[in-house]
Amino acid sequence: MASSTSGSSSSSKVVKIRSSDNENFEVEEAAAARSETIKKLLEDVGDDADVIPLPNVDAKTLVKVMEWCKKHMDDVDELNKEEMKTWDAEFVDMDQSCLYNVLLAANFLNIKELLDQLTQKVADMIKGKSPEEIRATFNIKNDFTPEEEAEIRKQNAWAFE
Amino acid sequence: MECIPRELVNQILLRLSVNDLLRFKSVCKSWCSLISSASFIADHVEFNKKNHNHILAKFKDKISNDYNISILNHETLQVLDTHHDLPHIQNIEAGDMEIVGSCNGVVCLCYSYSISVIILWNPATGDTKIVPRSMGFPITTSCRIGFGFDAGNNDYKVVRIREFYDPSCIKIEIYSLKTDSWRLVTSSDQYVNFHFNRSEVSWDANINGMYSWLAVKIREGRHQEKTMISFNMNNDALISTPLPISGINLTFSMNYLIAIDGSLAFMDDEYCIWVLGEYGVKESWTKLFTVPSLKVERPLGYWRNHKLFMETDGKQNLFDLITQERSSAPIVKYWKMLQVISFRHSLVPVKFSM
Repeated sequence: MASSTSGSSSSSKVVKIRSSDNENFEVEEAAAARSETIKKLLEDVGDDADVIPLPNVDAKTLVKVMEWCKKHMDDVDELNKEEMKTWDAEFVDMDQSCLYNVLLAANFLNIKELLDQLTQKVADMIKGKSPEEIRATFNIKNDFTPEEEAEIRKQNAWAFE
Repeated sequence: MECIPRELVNQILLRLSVNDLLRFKSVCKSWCSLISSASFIADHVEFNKKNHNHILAKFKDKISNDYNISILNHETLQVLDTHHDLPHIQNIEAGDMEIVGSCNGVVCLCYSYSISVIILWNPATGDTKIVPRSMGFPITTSCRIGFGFDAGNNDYKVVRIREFYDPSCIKIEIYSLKTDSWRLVTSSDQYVNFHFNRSEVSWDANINGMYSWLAVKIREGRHQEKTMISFNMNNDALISTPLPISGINLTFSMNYLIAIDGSLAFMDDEYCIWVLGEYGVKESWTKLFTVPSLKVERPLGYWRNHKLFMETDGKQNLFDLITQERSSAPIVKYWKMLQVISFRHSLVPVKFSM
């Protein structure tokens, strides 16, 4: 899982990236470049790049993100749009802590399309929920006084019906 | 899930409905201030332009004769929400109310042209605002009302325009929600004198900040020809667009302006439907449908997939402009449909100017 053989018959270029917990990965450049952050780093270091450190992303999360990047390496294939949709839906169907880590990673690595899919997934998860459930889900502290909260609820009463 | 960075919260909340967002204002102070912020509200409008289209329809209950405004799902025509308690003013019958237009979730209602009470209403938030009385021209003056969004100034405008015989008169007055006041636009030579046909109404003729009406041009005191005049909300200018064919009957009242899939369309005397390309350019009209069997009493509005809501011989149905077939709209079983426009939920406030 951690590395693939470079110098295979494939002519595609391979780049090395390193997770926050110091695990190295070899990924096809075309896949890694789905991340604007990695793309920019590669441009900056040129061909001298040894390994690109990604201090904000752990190995488990990086594997997941790169799985998405490989699948979305070439987004020109119109034929497989439906299949891709199904794949994407299954991909974002992960447990909450994993979803949270992948979301933060996609944000840091600046992968817009993945970020769109993940934020949509979170939105779908929380729609229809109560404020209490939202606070529990996101670990948010209620910083309203009881009077303030009652007033805000009153102003938006029909959203609670 | 641990605390999510604010920029991601922003991205997630943009994808939620107005109802969810109103409820989530009570999650915590930072969510409340984000959801209430002008920039988030504008982003939410922009983000949801791609989806969540609805239909706003004015109905009359066939049994109780009460009026209501309902919001329907654009795909299924299922009723999502019914507002029996229309924002209303004492002593004014809801039956006198017309929907002037809707834009970014804000609906402009006009309670009887003669009394001239205008209301801005956001059905999703319940926010309403009575537009102050204008002092511009006498309240009995024959005039038309338009409503739209001035994107450049992020402002919602109501425009009153009146028939014009005397060049020294004021012809247009504009209400700005931002300043909460009316402004008069003095006449200028570029404006053509015109007259409105009382029975002709524009349905949802508010496209990209241009609100249009049909009018009859007058030159040297004589009726000349029918034309379309449009008010540009972005620069407060009037523009006249010649109709696609000349010789349109001046008194014939079956000409309509109607919004079809985001374009302005005109129905001529022969029941041909033309779509406008560019305002002011006669040649830019394209004939889209010829429907000789469309002997409509009154089109009520456009739905989708070439289907019109219409009323023929007192019966309401859907008319397919391509197959020319009529089908029943399930919604009209108990209610008489009077007006239909496209609508989208938003958080845009109308009570307080920004």
